[in-house]
Amino acid sequence: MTRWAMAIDLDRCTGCEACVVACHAENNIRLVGPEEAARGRAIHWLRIERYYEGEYPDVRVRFVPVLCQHCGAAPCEPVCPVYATYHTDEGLNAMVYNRCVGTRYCANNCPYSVRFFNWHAAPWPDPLQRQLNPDVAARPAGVMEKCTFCVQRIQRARQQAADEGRELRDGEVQPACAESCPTRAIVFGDLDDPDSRVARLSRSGRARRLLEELGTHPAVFYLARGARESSGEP
Amino acid sequence: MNPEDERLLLAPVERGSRGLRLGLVASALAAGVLCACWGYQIAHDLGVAGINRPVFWGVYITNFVFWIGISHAGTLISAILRLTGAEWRRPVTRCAEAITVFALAVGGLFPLIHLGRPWLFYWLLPLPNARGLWPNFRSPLLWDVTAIGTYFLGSSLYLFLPAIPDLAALRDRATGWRRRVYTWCALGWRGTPRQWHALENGIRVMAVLILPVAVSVHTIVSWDFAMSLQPMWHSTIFGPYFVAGAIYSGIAILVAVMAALRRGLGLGRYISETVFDNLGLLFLTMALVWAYFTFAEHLTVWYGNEPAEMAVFWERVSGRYAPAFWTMVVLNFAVPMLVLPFRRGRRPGPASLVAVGVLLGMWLERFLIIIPSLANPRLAYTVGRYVPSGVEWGITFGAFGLFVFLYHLFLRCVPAVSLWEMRAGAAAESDTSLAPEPAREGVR
Amino acid sequence: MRRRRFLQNSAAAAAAAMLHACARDEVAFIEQAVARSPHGPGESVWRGSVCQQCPAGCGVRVRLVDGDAKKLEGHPAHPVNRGGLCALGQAAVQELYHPDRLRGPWRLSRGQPSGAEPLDWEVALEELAQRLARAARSSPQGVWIGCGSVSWPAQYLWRRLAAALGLPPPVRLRSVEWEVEREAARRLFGLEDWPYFDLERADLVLSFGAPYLERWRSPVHYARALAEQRQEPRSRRGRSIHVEARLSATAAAVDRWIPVRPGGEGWLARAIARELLALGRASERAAAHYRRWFPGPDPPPESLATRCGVPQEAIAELARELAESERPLVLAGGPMAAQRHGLFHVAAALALNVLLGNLGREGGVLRPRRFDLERNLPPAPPLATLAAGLQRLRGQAPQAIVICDADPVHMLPPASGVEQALHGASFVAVMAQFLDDTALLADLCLPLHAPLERFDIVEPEAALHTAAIGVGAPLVEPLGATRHPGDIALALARALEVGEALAWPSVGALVEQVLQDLHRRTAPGGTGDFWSFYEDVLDRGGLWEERPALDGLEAAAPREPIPEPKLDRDASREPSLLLAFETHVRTAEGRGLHLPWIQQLPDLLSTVMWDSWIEMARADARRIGVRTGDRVRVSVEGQAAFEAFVVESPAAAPGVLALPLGGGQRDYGRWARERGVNPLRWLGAGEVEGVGLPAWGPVRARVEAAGPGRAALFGRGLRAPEDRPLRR
Ligand SMILES: Nc1nc2c(c(=O)[nH]1)N[C@H]1C(S)=C(S)[C@@H](COP(=O)(O)OP(=O)(O)OC[C@H]3O[C@@H](n4cnc5c(=O)[nH]c(N)nc54)[C@H](O)[C@@H]3O)O[C@H]1N2
Ligand SMILES: Nc1nc2c(c(=O)[nH]1)N[C@H]1C(S)=C(S)[C@@H](COP(=O)(O)OP(=O)(O)OC[C@H]3O[C@@H](n4cnc5c(=O)[nH]c(N)nc54)[C@H](O)[C@@H]3O)O[C@H]1N2
Ligand code: SF4
Ligand code: SF4
Ligand code: SF4
Ligand code: SF4
Ligand code: SF4
Repeated sequence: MTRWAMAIDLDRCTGCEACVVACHAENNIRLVGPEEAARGRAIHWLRIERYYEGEYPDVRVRFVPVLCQHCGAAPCEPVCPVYATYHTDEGLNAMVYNRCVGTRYCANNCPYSVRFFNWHAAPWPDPLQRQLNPDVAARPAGVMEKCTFCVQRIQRARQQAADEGRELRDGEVQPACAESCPTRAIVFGDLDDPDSRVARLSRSGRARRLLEELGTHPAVFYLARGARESSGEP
Repeated sequence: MNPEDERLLLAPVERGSRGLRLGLVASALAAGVLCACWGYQIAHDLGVAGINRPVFWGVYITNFVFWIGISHAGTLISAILRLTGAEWRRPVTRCAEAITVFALAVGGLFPLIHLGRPWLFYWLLPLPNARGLWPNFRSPLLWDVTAIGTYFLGSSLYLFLPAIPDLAALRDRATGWRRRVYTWCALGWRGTPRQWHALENGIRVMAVLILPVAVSVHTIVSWDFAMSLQPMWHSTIFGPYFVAGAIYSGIAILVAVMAALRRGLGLGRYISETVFDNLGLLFLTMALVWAYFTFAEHLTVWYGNEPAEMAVFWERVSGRYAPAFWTMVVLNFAVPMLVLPFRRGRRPGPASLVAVGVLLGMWLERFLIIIPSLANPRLAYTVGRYVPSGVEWGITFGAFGLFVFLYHLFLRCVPAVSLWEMRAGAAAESDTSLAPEPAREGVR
Repeated sequence: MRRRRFLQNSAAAAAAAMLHACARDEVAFIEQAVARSPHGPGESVWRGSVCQQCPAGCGVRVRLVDGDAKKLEGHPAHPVNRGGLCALGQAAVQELYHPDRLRGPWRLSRGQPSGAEPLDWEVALEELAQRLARAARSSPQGVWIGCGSVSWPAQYLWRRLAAALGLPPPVRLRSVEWEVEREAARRLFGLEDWPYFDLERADLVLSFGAPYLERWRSPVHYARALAEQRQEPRSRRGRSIHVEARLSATAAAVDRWIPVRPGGEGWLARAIARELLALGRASERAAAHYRRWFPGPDPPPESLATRCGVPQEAIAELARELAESERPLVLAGGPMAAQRHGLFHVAAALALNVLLGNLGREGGVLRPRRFDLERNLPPAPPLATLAAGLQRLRGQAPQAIVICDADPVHMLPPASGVEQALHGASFVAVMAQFLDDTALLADLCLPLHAPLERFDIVEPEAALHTAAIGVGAPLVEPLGATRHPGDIALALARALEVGEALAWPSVGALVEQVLQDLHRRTAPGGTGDFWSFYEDVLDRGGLWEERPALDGLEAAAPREPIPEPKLDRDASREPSLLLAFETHVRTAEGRGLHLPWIQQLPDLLSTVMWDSWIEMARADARRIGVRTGDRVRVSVEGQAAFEAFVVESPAAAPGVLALPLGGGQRDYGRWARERGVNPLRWLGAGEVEGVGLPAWGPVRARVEAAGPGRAALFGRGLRAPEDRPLRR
């Protein structure tokens, strides 16, 4: 079986937010203007959370790129009354936009606040629509959306591998955020393959998961800042 | 019960009054605000409301919980009073049961109003379809749909059954199309002993059945929150806490409605001060129960000192929502404690003022349970804020209008006080030789 | 072209006959889908190209579907970006399809909304040619050409055209701080270029002001270098320290931030140098150089500590760390360089490299490597420096001004005199993709191709230790009647009868010729077929050396001392100091803010979207009664200046206000129009000493509350929950 997972190295991430724009460009995320953004309607499937520690002049800052954690026991899933959000065989938390009726319950029950609602219909002033990714559905008003782990790229890579009559290789599937990351902080792959990079990183002494104590079994591993040699990493 | 009583109680139905007509028109206009705002929202998407990320639920869900809570007045109280044979219930039951049905109707609208794509609401219903797609019964929202649907059916039946003899009486007095309608509604009631027997049994069975349903309904509404992982939602006492709050707000609206009926329809003879005195004691009791739960809930959170929960806690008691919180404490606890313990405080005037305050306080309580938790998610980066929009306020206001409108319609159709139950009560009282046996009449 | 016409015609005929009732739009859509793509409908095609959103020159791969560009990715093998792209680069495809792109030439009337009139290219070029000819006839000095394009053909052909017409060379339009950094490199290392900092192999990186993880020279390259410095198979994790008055995103991402007093950066460097000299870490030769750059007597340590605002012990500790490090490296630059004493700050910091002896060594300061593209081309004098260009602008008001692909009105402080000169000139022509602040002041506005619509060569402006160029070809059909700035130069040459000096039929031909030359040089003996080489370069989107080289670099013999600031008492009575900073997407040039993806990107630290903001300390905010999200009115040196949102920051120094660069464009498309504040309008102050450019930097200012606002903040929380004090 395949279980998709991600490792994000916080010792590499510089908070440049290239990944954030890459996600927009890949996933047809709608434009939210300044007024709506001020009302808390901005959509960023991936965000860089910034936390301060201490006060001037003794300040430190932590960055955490936060996206859907594709929880193994996802609290967003059972509460959806129409199965619009569900778990795939490969460990993805998937969204069926057409099925969503817009109760927003799933968003309330996501401890990571990574689900976003389409409060309005999306404007694509001509010719901006020519950039839209044909592999990704544009969402109508009234439905929920969130990071998909770039499922369309998984499909594309799998199709290509099938066309070439071979297995999918580790590192072949690159979500848009990972591919754009200047520091290569994001690693994506199959956790069930013990030799994949992501599986090896998930076993590192630096690996932690966000709000793990809630029992959500996130599929995103964060590698703490600090030296890799002391953490027994390969 | 003499013919004059009967004329007085039937007057609103048979002749109406200027006040009633005025109320009907005014409340229809107010209900129109709801329709207009909702129509606007459907045309311009849910974005016209103030809800956002992370406050995905706002006053619509507040209203939902509030109105479903309100609905516990009638049926639950009337059922308890019937089962315990409390004599003073007689003038109360009908108007209380009607509150339940209409509050449920209004409350039930809100989950629809709040949907992103309300035209697809039927996807929440287990309707057979070619694709074999069923709703997800693991979702508390489905439990809601089921519980509220059952409660609505049950309480409608429970309102209807005891009204049959009165509907028959109206049939007998009416002419023209009204007669046809009442004939249909009265289901051929003739008042034969067999029919009386069946009616009594039916009411008794319904009273027993409706109690667990009522308790389950607000328990399940509370589980919409308690089943989640949100800080200060994930609480085991939410079930009983919500039920207590529901009964509390239910009594409040009952007191307010009865005081209004007393004045508006001149029913002071029937809905007497004794009724208010008794109801006031129940009201006081529920104030204490509610305060106990609220205190317990906040104390345990504070003592546990879990960071994510404390963020919500402080937001409520000393942060942005503190004004609302302390207003709630004053209205729901301080004022009732200062007024209701005294016999004079339980008279219709002061009691109804307290009741209006408690209604406002309980609305705030629902708001305070929902919004501060959502505005303070576990990952503190995403803390949010929420200001309801004009559309949301319009719909909130319109919901009260709709309730009043439905209630006015009801008053024009069925006597607010059950004629036959009052008659039965009077008979029991005057026939002193039969006095020791009211229990035999049981639920009548 | 013919094929497309044919398809269009036949499809339209078929549509007219058969799909009579069909919506026009849909027919048009189907036609286009078929006509635009040489590949099957819906098929993805990947082609190489080069990013031109900033001068860094990252290599990209473009995903094309049905003739439209869909997505850009970094080229994994390109030495500048090694597969990554920054936020601005990611957004380039949105620029391509921006609804407000200029799609045809316009006659404008100097910022007046009335009187704008679309023109044909023939008319526009004719007019431009006549105006240039007339101005050149009266006085060659009367023509002023500015070029900010990162496209090498654009630069070369305009330089060539100017030379052929006997005009002064075009002026390089870059922000002040770039020019100051270059002057420092000239003085310290004798480079007519920017040095390369080998950050990846350094074990201790000390940066002064340089926002190398935000934008600066090459954000993708240096961010990757820092990541490798920390993590790749190294015996020890490298460390990084950043010195800056404000906690920038770079300061936040490195291991340690050392806050300095604004304007104290150079003094900190001098203080460290003093310690290093005392520790005997520097060679004698290096020490002698240093003494001649900074001949003044060293101020006493206490005085140095007060001037830079860093405690004496901390300075000594820092110097010890540097001295003990095997491969220390010091970088300097950024907005700090644009201050009046910017040259002092940058040079004092960079001179530490000389003391540490890391010039031309692994993990040190290296000589940049370039392909010499012009070796076998007709010569063209280099671009004039900005300082020389502005000098000329002030001397004699030019008759005709031509600006190519830059917005000097926005990116230079008003003291540069560019805006007055534009107002004063009798003719202004601007080549631009959008109606920016400079284009607004034009008489004639010539629309440019987007990078993906044209042939191009881009050299990383600040080159690496690996020579590299990016090569682009037209991958999509132009959105409108736009042209390459180089093609405009070629057309003008023909119209002005200097065609034989610019004999290429098009930019594409020039690109081909340069590649032919490179083919001969890089493939010794001219082995291999040129056309397969050409295809390969176009497909990869560039040409680069496979491995870095270690080119020697020596300290330049000091000719003149670096001017040191005098200690003038601050006489101002304004309570606060206002400074401006770069972010990942905001620079003085303001590029990218016309794109919604960039406008809506939450700033990393403040999380503000869609606007400028004033960052200040919480205590200062409380004092004037404002909170995050409220509006404040700012006055600079007693003059009412602007309004902005407040963002409280736990990292802000008391009394310091900070404002991001970029923003405040008058037009620049619907998403940038009148949005935010351009700090350069308010922060200009005197000249950069020793460089002769208009300075901008911290100024005295005052803020007062201006009522509540509705700021668009993405993350309002400042502290992780477990970190949150029990009561806020
Ligand atoms: N307006 C409009 N009309 C269209 C089209 C359109 O795009 N727009 N598309 C056209 C096209 S391309 C198609 S293919 C048709 C499709 O039209 P239909 O063939 O009607 O397709 P479905 O609606 O999927 O219905 C198929 C039925 O088969 C049932 N079914 C599913 N699995 C099985 C099974 O294993 N055995 C049996 N016996 N039944 C099963 C399903 O429950 C369903 O009732 O529609 C055509 N009609
Ligand atoms: N969710 C969901 N998915 C399904 C199905 C379903 O029922 N539900 N049904 C499945 C079935 S049976 C089918 S057949 C497929 C159909 O899947 P698609 O083939 O994707 O079907 P459409 O969306 O109907 O049409 C595709 C596009 O063709 C364009 N088009 C129309 N006429 C022409 C033309 O003359 N030339 C060209 N070039 N384009 C034209 C239309 O504008 C439309 O954008 O979907 C399958 N997928
Ligand atoms: S992170 Fe949130 S949305 Fe994603 S799977 Fe977990 S609970 Fe669901
Ligand atoms: S918003 Fe959509 S996905 Fe989320 S719970 Fe409701 S129906 Fe399901
Ligand atoms: S995995 Fe894909 S969808 Fe998810 S954040 Fe990254 S780019 Fe966005
Ligand atoms: S692109 Fe990479 S380095 Fe930049 S913020 Fe995202 S994860 Fe961090
Ligand atoms: S650094 Fe410059 S060249 Fe590289 S991707 Fe970003 S904008 Fe483009």
